[in-house]
Amino acid sequence: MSYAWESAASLAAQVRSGETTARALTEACLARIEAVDGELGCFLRTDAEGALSAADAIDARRAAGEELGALAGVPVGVKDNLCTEGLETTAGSRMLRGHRPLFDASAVARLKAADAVVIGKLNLDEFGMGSSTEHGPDGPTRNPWDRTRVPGGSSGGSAAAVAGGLVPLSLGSDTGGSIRQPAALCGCVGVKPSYGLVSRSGLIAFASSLDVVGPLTRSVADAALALDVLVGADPADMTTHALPGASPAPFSAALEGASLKGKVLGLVREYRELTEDAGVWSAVEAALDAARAAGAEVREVSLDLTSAAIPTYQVVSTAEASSNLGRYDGIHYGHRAQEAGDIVQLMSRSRAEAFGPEVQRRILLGTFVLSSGFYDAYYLKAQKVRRQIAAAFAQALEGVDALIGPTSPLPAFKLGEREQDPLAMYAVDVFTVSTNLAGLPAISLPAGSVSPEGTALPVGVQLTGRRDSDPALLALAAGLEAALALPTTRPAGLGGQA
Amino acid sequence: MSDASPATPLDPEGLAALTNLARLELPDAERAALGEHLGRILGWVAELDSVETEGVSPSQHDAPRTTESLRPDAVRPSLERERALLNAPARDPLGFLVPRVVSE
Repeated sequence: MSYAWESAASLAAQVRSGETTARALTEACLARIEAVDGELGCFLRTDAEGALSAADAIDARRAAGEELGALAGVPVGVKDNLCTEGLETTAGSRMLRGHRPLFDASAVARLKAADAVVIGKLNLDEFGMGSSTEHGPDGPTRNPWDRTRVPGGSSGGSAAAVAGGLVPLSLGSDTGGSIRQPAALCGCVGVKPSYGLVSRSGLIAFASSLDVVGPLTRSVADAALALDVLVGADPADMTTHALPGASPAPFSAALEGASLKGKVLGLVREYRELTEDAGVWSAVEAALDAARAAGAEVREVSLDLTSAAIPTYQVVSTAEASSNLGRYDGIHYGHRAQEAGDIVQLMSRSRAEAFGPEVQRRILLGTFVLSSGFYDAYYLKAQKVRRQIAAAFAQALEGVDALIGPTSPLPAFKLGEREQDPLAMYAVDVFTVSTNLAGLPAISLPAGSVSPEGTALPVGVQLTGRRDSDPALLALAAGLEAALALPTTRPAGLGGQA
Repeated sequence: MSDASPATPLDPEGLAALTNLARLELPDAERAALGEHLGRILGWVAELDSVETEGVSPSQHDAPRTTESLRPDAVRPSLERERALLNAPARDPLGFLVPRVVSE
């Protein structure tokens, strides 16, 4: 029996009712990965033994009459920069090859506590530094819609696994768009929650003031189901806080009867000329038409400092990365150079041998902007611009329920196309980085497709809301999803053309 | 603003100081290309100079929630030594092994 395209909500309901078992779902999921992931390269490794034993424990608890959790038996994939106890976690880097974490990331622990089954670890750009999932030592992940193209990044494995029907739910992380951009390029839903709502404990740090953990799914409802489980204060991450005034399942509750009627969407004027692909903009306009037809009002708004966001992000994120990645010293854990004289050489050589070129570039840039003589001109300046970007968002959001625009300025590009030009690669994040700088929630959802070479490539539309208004933002997204009523299409050659 | 806007490649001395600070041993063959690349990015980042920030205070991340950030100052179990050493590339039962740092 194939469960490949069923929703997480439906699978969990079937396990709870006894219509199927967690073991059956796990076995079917593992079989599908075995059958089709050779084409896609989503999973770096699966954990059949651990997954089946977790599934059996869930089934045994049901047999004993216990009530199961919200994600009962649902197979989930986890981006490989989230720690999984005893299961190799590399962050897509040679530095951490063979590394077995001593604990689960809090987000993973929450999924497990809700009776989800962790199937395995998903490919990413090394340490989350990239927008194409082609930088890692384990090779690229391919876009399910066109295998000559990238899935986006850095949560490319997480997006492609969901879009390819390998799992209904995956975890990603988003530092500058790493959940939303791959979700857009693969045609699934990706949520970057407000900073501080989902614990970063056990997320291998890239840029701590920007990093956020969030879900990727095939529907807004499944994203809400996952967020009900993921969101909450965590003593292990002092930057977390509880969602203000939250009921037990605030996201699913917010979706009940969700409608666009009377809602106001702010179309960001500046995004038009920054959208590289005309078809992408047309898809956004079609989404706006659908929203209007469903009773929403669309206003043009201005978002100042849009073009300053990427340079600001480059300074802030690399500064934090250079500090965070200082922990890889060849001594405590991770790769250690074999041929080294003194301790400084041991560190320098271990790091040079095991970090990939993009990671090295970012560490050096971050070291530069923090170094004596340049700190004020770069890092301090960027922190000031960051505050102004947050203020610009607050202004743009005045009088509207959410901002709307494309998630990515272009659809999935060819593998290798932007690899040699880091600046062109950074430009891909033009619509996403600013939300991380401002700490706001944002969601990307499918909004049709473009067909540059005859193959349909998904286009994503992004909604951005006020800080900690995440359930309301999801409700808007659900309203837009319903208004768009996109036909169900599935990537060719992966089975299950329903 | 200072004079820190090198749209030109980072010079070899500057790059050497930087790789030392970052503890990254770079092969000589890669130095020129990397210096050029970093210069290019820094030149591009220097566009931020055009943003007026007079009187703006720098932001780490906004809305700190100090009351919720505090927890009781209580002793809790920590990682046992044996487990802490599990992922170390070189170790003995007591600790991490490093090259000799003091002479005999």
